[in-house]
Amino acid sequence: MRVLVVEDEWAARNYLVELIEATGVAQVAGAVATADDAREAIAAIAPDVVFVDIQLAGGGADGLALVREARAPAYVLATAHPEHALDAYQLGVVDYVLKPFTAERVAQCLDRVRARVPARAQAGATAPVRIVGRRKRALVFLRVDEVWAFEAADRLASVHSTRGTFDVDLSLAAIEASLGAALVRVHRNWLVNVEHVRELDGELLVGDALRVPVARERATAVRDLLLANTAGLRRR
Amino acid sequence: MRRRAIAIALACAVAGALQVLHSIAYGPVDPSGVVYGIATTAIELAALTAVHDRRRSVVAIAALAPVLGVALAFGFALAGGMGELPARVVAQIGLYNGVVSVGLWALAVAMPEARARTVELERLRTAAELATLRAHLQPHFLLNTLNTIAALAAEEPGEARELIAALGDLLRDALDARGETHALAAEIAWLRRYARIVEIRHRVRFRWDIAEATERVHIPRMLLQPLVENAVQHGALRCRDAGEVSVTATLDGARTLRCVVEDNGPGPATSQPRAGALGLELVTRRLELGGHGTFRLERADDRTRSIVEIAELAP
Repeated sequence: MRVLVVEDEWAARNYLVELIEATGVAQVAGAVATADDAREAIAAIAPDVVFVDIQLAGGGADGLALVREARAPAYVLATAHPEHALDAYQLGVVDYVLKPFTAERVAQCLDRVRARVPARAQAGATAPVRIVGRRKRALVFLRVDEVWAFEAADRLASVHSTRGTFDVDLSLAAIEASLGAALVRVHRNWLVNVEHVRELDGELLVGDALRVPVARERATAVRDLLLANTAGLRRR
Repeated sequence: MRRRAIAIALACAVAGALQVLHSIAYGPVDPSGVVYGIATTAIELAALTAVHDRRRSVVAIAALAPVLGVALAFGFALAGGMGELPARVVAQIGLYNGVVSVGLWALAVAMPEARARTVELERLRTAAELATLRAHLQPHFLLNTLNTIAALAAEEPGEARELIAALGDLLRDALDARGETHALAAEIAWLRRYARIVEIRHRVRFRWDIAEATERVHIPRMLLQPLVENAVQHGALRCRDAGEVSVTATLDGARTLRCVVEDNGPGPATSQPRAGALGLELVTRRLELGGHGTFRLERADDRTRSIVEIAELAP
């Protein structure tokens, strides 16, 4: 199952992404912060289920408006309080996941979703995962092979890609959780797509001209990993 | 307004009854005397109420009544309503009437309104406290903050601990609150805890600029809280990128405290009233009743400002 997460709060969004990935039964196909971004993302990545916080930034019940307006196969409401319950079930909400989230609650919820979502959706789990990038108000949807690296700075993350640099609404830990296999953490603030690494010389040269620092304590591990994936290089 | 009209009408009826009794004591009932009693009482009470509404002192009101009474008596005498009474007696009647009017006014208008004001002030303070409690201890705020703590526990344990401490302090303060006013410093301390939780949970930054001279000025308890919450919920959180809230307090030469809560959000929606309107109503009403402050909301330079100005209260 491919999941879209809509949650306005940075920490809560990352946490939910990590918990969903940890269940192993679903993949996070995108995570966004606002109802507007969610509408666009639903159209672009066609998720099987959308986890949405009822109270998106600034109060009100924007999340519910999203459920009412945007068509998606299934919705799960992530909320502190199961209010609007009747409304929600009439709108085709499959389940609630209550805050504070736990691994158990998310797993139970995904089980219930799996029982309710059409079989087609479950077979679609192999569709490519996209990364939702943002520049001002415009969204872009990147394939993993277009990504050079993710960079974190305080509570902002950005993705460097063949199509340019964009903001990402997720922490490196959450990105690592959902795209783990393809990416390597070379520094506290950097996740690199091994496919695009071109040089290792103290720092990494990734893609066309992106220079990425490698943390001293990770240098050996990074070097070994790169070499393990490479043929024709002589180990000294 | 209606209550006032009824109170004045009742007072006039009492004045009329007094005239009837007075007439009976001296002979047959004199209709023009009764009319005089009722009419002058009505005019005087209306005048006293109007002067009182302009916040004139009690002394001014007490002095006005006899002067007005004498003037009205002479007016009535000139119109022929007093027969052939000598001027000395007319003045006496006017004076007597004015003094009785002050008493009637105090009983019918001033005292009930003063009591109603005290009761409403008390009610508003309770309402403000409840609003604060609801804001900080409501399930949504608590559960979302707990969720954030769970989310941060693994990657940012320091911030998780800070949130637990801030939440604990808020709970303690909410349960310990006493008294109608407190020092601005105490209000700011409370707001900072709330702000810290908001900062950790969202991409919102707070700036504080509190002049030292303002810290000991007393303000109604939790007066600023709805303003800060409004700036967060309907301002800063609606920013696509970094939201900002700044809180400043200054004391001007005339000992007026000026508190400004400013946010860089997209501003009040024009189509519908801001959902925080109830909280803002509370602020306006408390300042009005306290009789020493004003509140206004401004929108300029892409920023929304809530401005409170209060004449310094004795601690």
